[in-house]
Amino acid sequence: MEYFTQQDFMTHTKGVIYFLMIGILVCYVCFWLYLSAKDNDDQPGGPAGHHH
Amino acid sequence: MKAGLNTLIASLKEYWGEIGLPVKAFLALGAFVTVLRFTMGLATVTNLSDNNPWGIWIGFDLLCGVALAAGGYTTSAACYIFGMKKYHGAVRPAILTAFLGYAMVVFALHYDLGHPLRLIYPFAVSSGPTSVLFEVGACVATYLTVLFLEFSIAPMEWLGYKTVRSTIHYMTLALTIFGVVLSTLHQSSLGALFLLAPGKLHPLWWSPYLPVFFFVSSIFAGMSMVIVEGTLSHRYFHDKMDDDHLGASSAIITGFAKAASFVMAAYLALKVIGLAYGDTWHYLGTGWGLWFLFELLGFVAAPCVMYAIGAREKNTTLIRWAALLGVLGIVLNRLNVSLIAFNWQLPSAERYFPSIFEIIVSAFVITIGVLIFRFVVTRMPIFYEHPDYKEAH
Repeated sequence: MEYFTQQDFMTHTKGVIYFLMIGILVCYVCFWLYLSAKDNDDQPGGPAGHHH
Repeated sequence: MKAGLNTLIASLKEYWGEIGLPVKAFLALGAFVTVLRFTMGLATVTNLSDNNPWGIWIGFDLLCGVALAAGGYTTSAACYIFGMKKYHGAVRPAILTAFLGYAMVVFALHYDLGHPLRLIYPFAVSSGPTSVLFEVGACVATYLTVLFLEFSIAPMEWLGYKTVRSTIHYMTLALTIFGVVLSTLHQSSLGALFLLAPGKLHPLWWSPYLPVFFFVSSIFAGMSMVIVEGTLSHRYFHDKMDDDHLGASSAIITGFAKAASFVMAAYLALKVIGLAYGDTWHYLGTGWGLWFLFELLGFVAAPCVMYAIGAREKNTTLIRWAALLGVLGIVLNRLNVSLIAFNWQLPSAERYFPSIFEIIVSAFVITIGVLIFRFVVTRMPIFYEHPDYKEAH
């Protein structure tokens, strides 16, 4: 992409970063949920949501 | 005091006898190159030039050494600051690795400096406090002292210096906090050193975020190194480990894998943001782009996924392989930034490739580090609790 001013460049790159960050934050939460999903299996009470 | 010194000298003599002949021959070769370096100068033993003033002694010995020694502050912070006591068994090996790593970094730095005896100059003669390099030097020197104090508890226990040991042990939390602060500063500053070379470092690796890249990557580099070091230690020093250490090993590895995976994912995201910030996407279609993707996907994304699966499924074999990839990835990254992607626009005839003497010195430094590590773990309470101090934690 061709830029004529620093403003053009910053608007473009910042815009891309904002969109990327939305995706990254959603992916990061999903990744943490995936990583932690089996953590409670190790606890004496068993998996989360199965405490009676 | 005298009894302790006698024990130390007797142990060193005994240890020298245990070292094999090939290793001694290599040490002699290293000593020969060392004499050559300090009597004939840098030009005799290195391929360094005005275009490439930093070779593998900086790119490999220093940058990789500091990054891989980061396990010291990550492990001690997890145990003493965040209260994750399950990592207690990993603290001493991690501190030992970190201390030896930094000690070897400073040792290797003497080879690279034109005037090695002027290493003291930034602190005593001409400080230059506005320089990033001054900050790196000050932090490394201070952190090496902190690591020495943290490590010294083990030899104190071994030699029976109870009073000194208790005094240093009393300072553990303060030393840990100090160590984390110093590491945050100099790990990032090592990346900041390259900020002033945007025209020399390839745009895929150069970014205003370089200090952040270096700091974040040092976290998972340190964790990966702790796992690799633990794996090797289990193989070669299994008989030196007590039941507590052996029993906690699996939980420590899984915990580190989960943390390393999470940090690697953050690093990966930051690298993508770095591409977007500089709008350097178009370089990805070039040969340099393939090399960049090879580093990022093969040595960050792949171990990140392997760590995640390993941590979730409690698969320690997968985690150990991921750790090895993580360590190799950090070495590749630091070499890319400091050597391979540095001066990328120069014709190949003017590019740097290390001389055989430089490689010998690097191997010599690593060999000394490994030998000291072996000496310490086979004699001092690193993988086990000293019976006199079992209740002292």
